[in-house]
Amino acid sequence: MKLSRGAILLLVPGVGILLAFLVLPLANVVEESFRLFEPGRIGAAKDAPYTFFNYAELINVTYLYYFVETARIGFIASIVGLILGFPIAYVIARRFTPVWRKIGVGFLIGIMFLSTLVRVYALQLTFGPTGIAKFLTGLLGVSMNGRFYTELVVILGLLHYLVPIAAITLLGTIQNVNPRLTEAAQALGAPRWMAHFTITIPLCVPGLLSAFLISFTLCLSAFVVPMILGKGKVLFVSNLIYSRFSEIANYPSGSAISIIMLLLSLLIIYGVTYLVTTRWIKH
Amino acid sequence: MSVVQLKNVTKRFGSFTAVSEATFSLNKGEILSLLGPSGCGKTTTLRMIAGFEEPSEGDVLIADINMRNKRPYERNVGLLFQDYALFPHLSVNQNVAYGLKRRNYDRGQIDHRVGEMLDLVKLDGFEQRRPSQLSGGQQQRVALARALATNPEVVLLDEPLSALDAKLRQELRIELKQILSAVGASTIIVTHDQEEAMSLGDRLVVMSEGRIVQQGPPTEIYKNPRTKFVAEFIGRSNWLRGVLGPADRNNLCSFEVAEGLTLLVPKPEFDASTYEVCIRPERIRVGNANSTDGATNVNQLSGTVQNVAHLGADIHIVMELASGYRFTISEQFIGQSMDEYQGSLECTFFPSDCIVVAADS
Amino acid sequence: MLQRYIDHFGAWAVVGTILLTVTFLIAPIIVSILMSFDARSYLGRFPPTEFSFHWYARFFSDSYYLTGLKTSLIIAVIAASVSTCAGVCAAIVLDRYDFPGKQALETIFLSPLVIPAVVVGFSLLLFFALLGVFQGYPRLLAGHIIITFPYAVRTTLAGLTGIRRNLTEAAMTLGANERQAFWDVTFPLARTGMVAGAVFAFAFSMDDVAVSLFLTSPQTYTLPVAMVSMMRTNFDLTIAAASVILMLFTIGLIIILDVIVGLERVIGGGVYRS
Repeated sequence: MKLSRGAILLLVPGVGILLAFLVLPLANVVEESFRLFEPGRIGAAKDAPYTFFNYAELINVTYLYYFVETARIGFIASIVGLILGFPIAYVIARRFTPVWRKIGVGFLIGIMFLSTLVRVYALQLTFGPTGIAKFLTGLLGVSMNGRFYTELVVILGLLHYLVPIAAITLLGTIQNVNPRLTEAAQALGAPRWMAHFTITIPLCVPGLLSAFLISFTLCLSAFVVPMILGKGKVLFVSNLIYSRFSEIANYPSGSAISIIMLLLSLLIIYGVTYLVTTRWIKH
Repeated sequence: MSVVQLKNVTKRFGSFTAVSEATFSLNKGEILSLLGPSGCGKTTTLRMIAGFEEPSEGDVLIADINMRNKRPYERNVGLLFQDYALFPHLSVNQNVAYGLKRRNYDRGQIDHRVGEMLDLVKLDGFEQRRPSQLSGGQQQRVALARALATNPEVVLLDEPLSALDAKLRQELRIELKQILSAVGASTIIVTHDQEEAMSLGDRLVVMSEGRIVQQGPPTEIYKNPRTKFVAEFIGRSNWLRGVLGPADRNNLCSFEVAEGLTLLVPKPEFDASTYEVCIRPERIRVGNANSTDGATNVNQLSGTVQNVAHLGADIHIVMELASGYRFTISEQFIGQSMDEYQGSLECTFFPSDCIVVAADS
Repeated sequence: MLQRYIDHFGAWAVVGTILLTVTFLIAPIIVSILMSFDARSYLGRFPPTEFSFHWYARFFSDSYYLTGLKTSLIIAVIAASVSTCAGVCAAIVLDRYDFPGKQALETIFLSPLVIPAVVVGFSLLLFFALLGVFQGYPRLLAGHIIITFPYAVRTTLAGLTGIRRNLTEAAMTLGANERQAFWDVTFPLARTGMVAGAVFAFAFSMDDVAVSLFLTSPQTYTLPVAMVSMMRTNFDLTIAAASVILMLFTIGLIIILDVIVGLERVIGGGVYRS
């Protein structure tokens, strides 16, 4: 149907919300990101001169480090999330009776829906000094307050969210792979493990890729997990933006980081998704 | 009196012409089958009558009123969708009552009419069920009851039996015809199934690539298809291509297919550069000329049997002629042994059983 | 023979990994539930030796948490309602009408899903500071509306596209005009999608930390924000009690989702089932 006047009226609330609470605020952030900041103020002055300084500053190794660290930890967590999520999805899709499948799916959704704070706090209790931290660090031979253990706990914090997401995404993919294919491969002489590696997993590549993309973008914008579990030692870009706001009120710099982060997220989501769909999924 | 009239109706979607200059009419109480392969424009034609598409050119008249710019709800048309389109959130009762309610019947009339309709389609006792609790056949009958409830000027059926399995289809075809004639509904059935079209329709309109290629009673079209497309689409056929000779006193022409293979065919009523001849498998008889009770002018062929398939009531024999042509012959099974159809075989058919059409260029 | 050993070993390795993963997913939750019933009056080591409800009593007598809980509920209800209304309207247009730029508009409507929450929070903070309007509740509400709006659009749209167009057409041949066909057929069938969207919106509003942290004020803060600040300064188990209460909310929402749409439909079923 062609757009009528009534239809345009229906769009007004949505467009209004988006314009007032997203588009204009982001435009303002772009503007602010080019303003010169004087330390000691809250934000830039109304008539502060324009500058590229806020962006140029980010090329500095200290800042690049945050981006690299966010990407590195996010990458590790996403990959491990896929590896742990795939078998769960496979078992739920293929080995469970309908009743158990419902229980399994309910369990995954329950874990996924868990409030971020509940999750983070539960992990802190479990992997912190009140829980098994002493045992684990002793086992690994590392310090409880060291960088390694903190990073491990942050990754576990991300995984607690990523594993159910990966499993749920892959569940749909696996259910769309004809189980007769692996049986055919086995009938043709392939042992079971090889049948899975040569048939099931390659057929799940599009699903694995999209699960990875979802996981990775979630990691890049993770905020609460590094803030609480990172204990100031592991910080993500999100935390950097927050500290720009809460600690030194350097809004222009926070704006510049926000813009870069936004562009990177959009690049990954739309750019990589486009590449993946055209290269893998269409063929 | 015609209930529906299409006058030179053309429908274009962008540069694609879906229907081109369609002209036909539906008489009161008549069942008309709109037959053609998928993509021939028959569904578009149906949607133009229902009002979901506006013709690019030409007019659709229902009860002699021009339907141009009339929305679907401003026409009184009953439409049975291919997948029935029953409202899943409404009961059988509410589904059938929906049209009556929208057309402002009062409460008592609605109850009465719904009961009458469910009685007609033999679904009393199912009033409170949801569509998902019904079988495919039952759903179809609810959809039919819903379409008929408002006493529409014309009932449109879109591939009414295609969603059902083969056996159920046979049963429901008879039932459908009974219901439609019981209410005397003027009906247009869109289908790609020639058996369905012929058994349900009083008249056929055959469409191909957006055009109407032939219309008439089913028997007439089967016996005298005007083009190769119609002949091939309706029924099975054997084809021979050859050179047509002049007509003799009996209005028969010689038709030379190959050396040593010349047939007698009826003189065509049209001119064409090349001709083709079609012979229906069931018009060919196994046996030689002596078995035709002394009839003259009988076409006789001989060849070797390639394949015999016993399909229950019929036997299909594939015979190869010396010239390399293959012929399919259909014989009735009356208890004979399949051994009769071995090795070399002779068969005959009358010139009147030969259908001459212009060859596709 | 070797292949069989690999198959055997592989199967056990997979089962082992799954059990370990599931333990990892459940154990922390059990730990925090048990700890919330710890009778000790300080944050001690797991496991608790005696159980009591005193952390819950603390939670329900602490006005700091209760204010947060009240604010969270008010904000979540209003944000979910506003988002659902606006989202349903937008989804109807996206589903039923064709116009240039429709695809782009849909992408923009869904874009808050992919923009990092911190960026959304930060930009709203700057924007409202610049305009000098919106303090307290309205400011917080704005943030929650923008992050929940795309969920409402997406689930409603999914519900609407699942409705075959010929149902509307059937209604129209039976005498209903466009408006009647919408209210008689489309709306009742899309209702589950809309309710699911509202539930999602409510859940995500209740859960949000990143946006709220920027937009709270000393008087208006949500329960998660209260918990974050407690986590950083306090070492007691009232937070565990708060966690369990939030978990109960989550379970409630999942049950609601299962009743109205079915969990398998939330994730979408595949073609081949064993």
